[in-house]
Amino acid sequence: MRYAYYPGCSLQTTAKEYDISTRAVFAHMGIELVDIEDWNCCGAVHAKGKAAIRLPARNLALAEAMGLDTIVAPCSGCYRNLRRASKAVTADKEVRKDVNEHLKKGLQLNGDIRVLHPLYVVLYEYGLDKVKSLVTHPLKGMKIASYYGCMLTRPKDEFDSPENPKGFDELMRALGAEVVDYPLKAKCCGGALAISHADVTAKLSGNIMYSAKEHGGEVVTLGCPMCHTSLDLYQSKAEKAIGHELDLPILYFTQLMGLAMGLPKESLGLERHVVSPEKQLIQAGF
Amino acid sequence: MGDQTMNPFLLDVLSVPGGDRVLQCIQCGTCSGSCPVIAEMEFGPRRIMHLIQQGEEAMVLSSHDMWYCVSCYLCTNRCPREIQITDLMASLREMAEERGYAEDREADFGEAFSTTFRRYGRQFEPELVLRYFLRSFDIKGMIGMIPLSFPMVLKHKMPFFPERIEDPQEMVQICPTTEGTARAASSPRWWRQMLGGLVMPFAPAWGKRLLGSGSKKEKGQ
Repeated sequence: MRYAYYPGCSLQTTAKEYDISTRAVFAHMGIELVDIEDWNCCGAVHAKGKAAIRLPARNLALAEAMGLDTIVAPCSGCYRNLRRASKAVTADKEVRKDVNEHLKKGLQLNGDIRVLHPLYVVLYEYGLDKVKSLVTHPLKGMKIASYYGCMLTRPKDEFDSPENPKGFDELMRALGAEVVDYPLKAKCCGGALAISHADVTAKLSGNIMYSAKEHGGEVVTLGCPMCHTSLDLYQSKAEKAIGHELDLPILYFTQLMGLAMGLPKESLGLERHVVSPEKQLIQAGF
Repeated sequence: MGDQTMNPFLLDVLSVPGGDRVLQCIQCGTCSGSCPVIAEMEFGPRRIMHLIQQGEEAMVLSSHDMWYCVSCYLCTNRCPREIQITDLMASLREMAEERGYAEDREADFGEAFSTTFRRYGRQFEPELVLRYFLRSFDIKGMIGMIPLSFPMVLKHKMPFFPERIEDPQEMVQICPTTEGTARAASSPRWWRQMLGGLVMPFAPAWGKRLLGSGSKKEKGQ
């Protein structure tokens, strides 16, 4: 299995632990991730007009130039943008023409590039049975609340339900964890407003974490660097906003996969979280 | 309904991404009931749809509602009339900037965001935040960020040097215009001029490079 890998800006900085744990776990599963050379920012939600398609489309063209037909994008925002661009050029010749007219000389997007979130590679390309066979240290007794956020499942795609998603839960069960269900698992953390209206982000992410904790969650898992920033870095603000103590560690699903598969803890960047997961990890025998 | 019965603002909205089905709205309120930030909004998506149908350009575009939209797609997913509400909110943000109505800190953030990634081809957080604060002069927000900046530095989450693509000119070709739309409407110009006057003479050479938007040479492209 060989995929083009699009880390995106956050995975170089705020979410480096997501990057290193994804690379470590995928290497362990024997899945090759080939970095897209010279990739650019997908524009997040701030690209205007046609640039909103052209920006992510440039990365599709770069992957195509490397002879790869599927891109893995770990950030939910990048995943949505790349996927939207891929769909747009496939559906509309005019859009493809516009993209190609704005790429540098020699770079063209002619084919259809698939875009996948690493969760879907694990679930639907690699398969849970194979994942189970690699589990050497089951996450026994760990009560995990999965947080899906927005753009992993919305706009609606073929992989999971946009209202009541279950992908992370299935994976966590396969790793031996106890899964906690709670009503806000697919509500927005407000990450888009984290700088301009930080109070809103704090309130929304506080409500999500409080709901997760109320329903018995001891650890939250997710697969988006923006959600992680809202829930981990902003947790002190969130506690103030909702008036409850949280102390809830937020781990990327790839870190939990790495732990369950017996990868060395140092290779998973667990020390990089603001809210330390140490207590919960020791409790679970790690 | 013939064109002659439609107001110009409604016609404009019908032609922007996400706006084509705005006349299909039946005011059921599923969008506003689903919205995670409805408490922050003045109208909410349901009433925005109605105001668009009524042609209330100034009320819609000067409201802060679309700037509070977190692009979570919950309303879009649930809309029984299949209106692409999230995409429409993005289009309304662009229209508000183009027509000089934009007056929200998130408009400043969006401008700072696109200016920064357009310079390097990738995002560079310290410059993004600096540009945002110089643009918005959001003192309360800046003070609120201070306690978060320590863990960011300690946990190596803050980069000190920008990553770039090989030829950032490619970004200019891809996004020809980002500058000059929101700035007229959002933070008052005199603030920025005064700040620039205060900061620039004392900033070291690298700081000058960082703060100079570089837009002059790019604008003509």
